[in-house]
Amino acid sequence: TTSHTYSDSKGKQDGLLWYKDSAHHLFGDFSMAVVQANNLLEDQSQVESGPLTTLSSSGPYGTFVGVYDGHGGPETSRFVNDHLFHHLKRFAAEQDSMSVDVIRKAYEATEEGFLGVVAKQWAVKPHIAAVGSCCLIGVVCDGKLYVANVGDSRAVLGKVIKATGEVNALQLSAEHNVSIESVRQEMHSLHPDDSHIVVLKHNVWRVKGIIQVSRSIGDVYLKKSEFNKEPLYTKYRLREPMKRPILSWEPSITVHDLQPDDQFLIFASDGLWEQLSNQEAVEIVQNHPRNGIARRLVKAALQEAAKKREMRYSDLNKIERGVRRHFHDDITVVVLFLDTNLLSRASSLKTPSVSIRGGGITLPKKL
Amino acid sequence: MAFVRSLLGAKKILSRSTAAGSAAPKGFLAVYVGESQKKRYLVPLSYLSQPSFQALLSKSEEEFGFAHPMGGLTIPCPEDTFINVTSRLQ
Repeated sequence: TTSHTYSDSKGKQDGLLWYKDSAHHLFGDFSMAVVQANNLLEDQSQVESGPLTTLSSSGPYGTFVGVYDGHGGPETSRFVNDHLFHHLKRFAAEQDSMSVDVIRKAYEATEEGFLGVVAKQWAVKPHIAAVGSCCLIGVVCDGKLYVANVGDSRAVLGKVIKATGEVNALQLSAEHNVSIESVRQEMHSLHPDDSHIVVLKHNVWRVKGIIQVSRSIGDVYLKKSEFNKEPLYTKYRLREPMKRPILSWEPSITVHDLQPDDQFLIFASDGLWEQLSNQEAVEIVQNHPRNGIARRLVKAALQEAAKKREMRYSDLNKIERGVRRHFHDDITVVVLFLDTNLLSRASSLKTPSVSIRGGGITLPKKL
Repeated sequence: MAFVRSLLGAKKILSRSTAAGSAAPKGFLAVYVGESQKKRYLVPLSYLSQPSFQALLSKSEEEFGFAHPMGGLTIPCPEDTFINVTSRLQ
């Protein structure tokens, strides 16, 4: 077993855990933590705070959070981490503001960019067509919170009741996982001629019996027929030709006017939410110190995973990446605190920009 | 908790227990083995780094993904296959 311990201003690595306990963004503090379970980390994430435009002189200021949960490999989530925020800033510069349309265009440009990568690599690396990523973002700007999502990561708002100090969870992201009945209904209405568009196998619903999410970036083998043929593995190939894209890249976007009782946001990949409920997570945040809160949420999820697998938490921590995936998924957590005084403050040009990526060092693939 | 020796008489102890849902002792974890009826076994953590045991887990993943409805790891192979594989592990 190799244990990497690594530390700098950008975060610390302790075995399979990476964390940044506390840092500042424009409107308060934030905390990040990532634990790896896959042989190659498939979750990617970032927090960016400062100008939300490619033009330095004017335009919107704010905080951007992205959580990208890849599947089939790390390529798509890494691509999203490298390109989505830049597209967002480019469209915000064009329109001189943040908007639902800017966000939608940024998703579209990212999807198109990855399609270009697949087209280029298809001949030598056909598996690239079967790699995809969920994509959750939050943008805090001008007193508003924009949340956009494809896939099954989740953004949850902690609303504090002033009189009692209690906290309520409000989920802001729509989820696109066919375990949810309304998502299955949407798939049936989009594909009325295919009674097998979603299939229940061993108690798990999957699109075409293959994948649990109905929307994603990438997964072009389920979007374009020219990438659903040889030399792609048989298990990814459809029996009948695709009449229309099966999966969609189109994000569900909500806009929320921030109130003084909106105290923090939790952005996390489904690795967290398969262990903790929304309410459990916001109560942990409300009842503990802010410093290191993302790491505390990851630990609570790992304790729950150990309990499910009928073993000790201390033993779970000894299991190496790869095999670890049988115990839990990659888990990414970003907790963003919102300070009311800072939210109402005019965008300050003096605050230095922040840019932090979750996951720190990349461990090479084990054979 | 009942501890029984492996049927093949290997020296290490494979423990079988019916106390589902309770945490295993330090250094062990629960696995549910069998095709239709599942039996609960406690296995040492060290098995997880053995390629032959990892192969059993991968086989389970191919069929069921990472969903384990019992909570504990499910290994849906015949019980004698499981005993055969684990009896060779140190």
